[in-house]
Amino acid sequence: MSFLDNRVYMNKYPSILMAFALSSPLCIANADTYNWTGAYGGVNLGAVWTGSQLTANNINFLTDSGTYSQAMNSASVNPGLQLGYLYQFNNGGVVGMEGDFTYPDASSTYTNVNSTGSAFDQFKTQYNLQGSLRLRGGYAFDRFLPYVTAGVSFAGMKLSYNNDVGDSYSKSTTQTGWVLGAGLEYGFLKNLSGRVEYLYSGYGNALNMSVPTTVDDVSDPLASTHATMYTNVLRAAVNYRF
Amino acid sequence: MRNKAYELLLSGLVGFSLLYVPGAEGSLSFTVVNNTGDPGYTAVCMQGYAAGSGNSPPPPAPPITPTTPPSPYLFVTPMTPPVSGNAQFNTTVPGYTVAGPMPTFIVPTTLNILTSSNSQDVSGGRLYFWLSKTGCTNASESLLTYNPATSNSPAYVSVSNDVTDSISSPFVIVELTDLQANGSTVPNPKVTIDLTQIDSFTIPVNLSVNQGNSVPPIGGSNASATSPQSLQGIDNQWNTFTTTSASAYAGLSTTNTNYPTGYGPILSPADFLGLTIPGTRATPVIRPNAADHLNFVYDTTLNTLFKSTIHINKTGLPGAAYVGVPTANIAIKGAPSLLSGLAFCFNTSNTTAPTACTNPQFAVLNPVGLTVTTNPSTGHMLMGTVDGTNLTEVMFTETLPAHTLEIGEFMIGVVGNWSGPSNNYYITACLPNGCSSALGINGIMVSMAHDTALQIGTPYQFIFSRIPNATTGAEYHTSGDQVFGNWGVFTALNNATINGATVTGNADIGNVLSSALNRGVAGTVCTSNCIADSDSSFWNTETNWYPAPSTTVSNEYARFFHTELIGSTNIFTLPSGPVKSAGQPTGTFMAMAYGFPYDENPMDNNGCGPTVVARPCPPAPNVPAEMNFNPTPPGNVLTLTFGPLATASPGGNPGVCGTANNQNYTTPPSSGLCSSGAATTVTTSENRWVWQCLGTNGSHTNVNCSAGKSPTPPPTPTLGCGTANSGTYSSAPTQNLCLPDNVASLVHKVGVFWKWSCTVAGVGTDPCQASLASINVVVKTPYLKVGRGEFLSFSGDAGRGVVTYSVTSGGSAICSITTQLNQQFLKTKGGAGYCNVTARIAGDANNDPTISPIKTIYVH
Repeated sequence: MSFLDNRVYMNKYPSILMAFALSSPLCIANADTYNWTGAYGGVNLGAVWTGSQLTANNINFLTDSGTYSQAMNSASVNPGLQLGYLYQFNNGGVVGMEGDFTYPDASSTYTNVNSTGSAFDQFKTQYNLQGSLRLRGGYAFDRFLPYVTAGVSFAGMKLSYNNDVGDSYSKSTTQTGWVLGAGLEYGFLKNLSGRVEYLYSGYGNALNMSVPTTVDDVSDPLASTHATMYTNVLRAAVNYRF
Repeated sequence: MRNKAYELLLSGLVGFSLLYVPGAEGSLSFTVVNNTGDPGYTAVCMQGYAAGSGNSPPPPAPPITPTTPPSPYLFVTPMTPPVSGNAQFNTTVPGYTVAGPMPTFIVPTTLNILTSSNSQDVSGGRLYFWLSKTGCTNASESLLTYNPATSNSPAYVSVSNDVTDSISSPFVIVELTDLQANGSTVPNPKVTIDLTQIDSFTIPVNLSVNQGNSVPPIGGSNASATSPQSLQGIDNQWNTFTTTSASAYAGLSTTNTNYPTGYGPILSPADFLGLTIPGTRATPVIRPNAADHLNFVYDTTLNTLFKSTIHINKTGLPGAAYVGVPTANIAIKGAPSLLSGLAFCFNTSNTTAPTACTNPQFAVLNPVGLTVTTNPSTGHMLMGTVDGTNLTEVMFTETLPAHTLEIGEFMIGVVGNWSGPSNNYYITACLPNGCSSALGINGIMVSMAHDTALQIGTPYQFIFSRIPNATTGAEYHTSGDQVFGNWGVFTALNNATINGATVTGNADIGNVLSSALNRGVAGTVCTSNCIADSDSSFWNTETNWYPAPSTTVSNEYARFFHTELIGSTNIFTLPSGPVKSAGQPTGTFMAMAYGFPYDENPMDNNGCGPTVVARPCPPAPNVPAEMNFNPTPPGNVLTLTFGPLATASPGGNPGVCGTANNQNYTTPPSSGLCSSGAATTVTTSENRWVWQCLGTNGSHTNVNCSAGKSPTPPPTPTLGCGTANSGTYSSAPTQNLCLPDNVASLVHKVGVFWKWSCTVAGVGTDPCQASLASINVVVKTPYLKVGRGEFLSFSGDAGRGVVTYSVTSGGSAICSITTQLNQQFLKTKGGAGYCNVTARIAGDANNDPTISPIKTIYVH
């Protein structure tokens, strides 16, 4: 799903935009210097590119070595909400804090099939939630506010395995990581601003899953699968400033 | 008596008395026992003579023939050939016949064999017994030689100690020691027995001598301590002595049980001498019993004694040509507790006694108390010469290459020439555990120089102790052996031929030393000039003998006889005109035998002793004969035993346990109870069957015997294989191998079988076998998908050896076996096909290897 896919955007989130537009007392910015101090809240929409490095071993995996080392990537639309507060100093410096939630729908699947097609090993990684609590810092050029942001990220993710004989294992977790990003926000009106920003979240070796059973009751108690998870988010957002 | 080899005087004087007294028609039976070990002897010979003062010099000993000895001399046999019949004299005196397994001798029909004239003093009269293979009729068999008086010496009768193939050495000397004063009721003169002069090992003896003209029953009721010559009195005192007077000996029991119950323990040299230690000779030899209590005591005490150097002076050494004085201590250095030094120093002068032995010139090193080992392989002694500072040309007396001193060798005597008085020589000895200089004994131990007084012949010869060998049982000489057994350093040795050279050992050294040791005077240690009380003159002063037991070491047995009294009379009283040693014209008096080695042990006579090897050693007895007068029940049976006392002493048939002893029986044993003597009723005690074997025919040797009580033995097991036989097992069967109470062997795999055997002792052995379950490769499924794998296992024949697998691939499949999780893992790749897997169990010492059939796993 493309970040600019308006069809999806419009089809999936029309009610949010309409409600925001109808309920906000829009004010036209005057010639005075724009003041960024105050709380704000809004919606965001963008895209998330997820990545994971899969490492797995089991004596009965189809590979000769019984191991897998595979990169697994995915991308999806990533809508969300944010709420924050900014304070502008007299010298134009702006600091603040923001929390956000997004709802990605990113998953990646890797399947290895043997030469006769009689057997396969399949791995799948998934994201279903991601949020962050970040500090923001920037400098106001009147209505323009460039900023950087960093903080704690969290995400809900899942790793699963299955094969041709019905072995199936999965593990879900909410993993805490770190987030770092930057953006530019513009105050259209006294109470309305919009921005674009990029965020990178890393979760490390987030998923560790035992995969003991393969086929014919042959068990490898040391068998396991690991996934190192990370995301890239590029999104736009509008905020109503209270 | 001092004639060392053949003078064991026994209380057979009673018998002699009986023979003597005319008209003494008491019934007297002789039982003759041959314990010599040589059954070839067919006659017992007797000779005798008297040397009393009443007819001095004594007349010459009569010849073997004629049969009637000239009066008044003591009887000289003829002996008659054996006569079949009883083994005992069984007639009254006179006139005896004897026959049987023991050679026969016939006492002449007249009893004047001991007849003496009224003027004949038969004090010291002696009878000699010996054994003959030729019937005692050959004049050359006579052992007695009359030696007329000369201007320099009195007349005497010498006794040959030559042993030939035909005759043995003399066994018994019966000694009459007193002439009874006239009396109204007894013949005159009458021979009585001075019991204080009786040499006897068979104490206590219930012996009573009636001086009348009738023969009392031997061992009769008139034996008492108040009887003038009652050994009962000695016995009582002996009991007291051994239980209270000398604590070191109190309570010691004898190994010889030939004494009546109630007489208490006795330390008797007879015990010591009478036991057999197997030797290397063709026939068993009697050796001092190293384990005897007496020997034990002596070893201990002697070892302590010999920690000090003992010095000896020439003075007072009869017959010795020693020159010297006590010296400063030249004892062997080193650990005194291990190496006992007994050294004698002499000076060159034979007239002046130096005040100190600053220039020791002759030394005798005594290994007494040590384990002497030289040449354990042969048991022969060594000899060698001194060359400069080394002892060289040491060799065995047999033909062997020159030999250096071995570990444990000790020189015990030095005889022979020396190259000159200016030369000093040194002798090195070694402890049994080596010659390490750390012990301080390696190298120069004793400086020796020439002593012309000792120069006897060439070459310069050393005589070494013989060799004990605990393993082979060869000669072994403890201090007790040497003191009591007349072995080793104490052995009298005269003119022995060794390697063709005549070696003269000075027997007096041993005798004097032995006397001093026995008398308890040898232990006085010289600390200064060593003249006053530590030389041989001191040793030979009788008043010094047997000092208080608490202060010295002595032969307590001899002490008893030497010091104890009956009434106010010494037990051993030197009679007037005592007989001197027949073998030594200038020798010591007879009738003083109370346990000195050279008195009581004849084992070294006739060249058969431990220090002489040149002559073949005849099977002569090493312990003299014995007369026993203590029959059970008291009566008038006299047992005359020739040969080792241990086997029959004091006569009769001693109780000896039979083959049933120490065996196990479910019921009281009824046979094999006694090999000698009479068995008592078998009873039970503490879960054992017990009985006694009582001595018979005069023996008091009663021994306790016992056998274990074993439960009723189970029936003999049935021999056969168990239910495992003919079965099929993947691993070696462990149960039901055999029928009950069979002994199963190890189970072996042979081919396709397990094999074992079942055994029942005394019945037999049955072979058994079971089939071997074949080995098969086991997989979970015979089908694998490409890329998958599975673990391999096997069935059957488990539990042995190492199992390995091999695989071959078929079709497009590529199969491999690797070790995964410590198991064998079959892995596939490639395409469809199959894997053929086999398993192999390695064999071992008892089992063959096994290979399974091919197991095919299909791959798709």
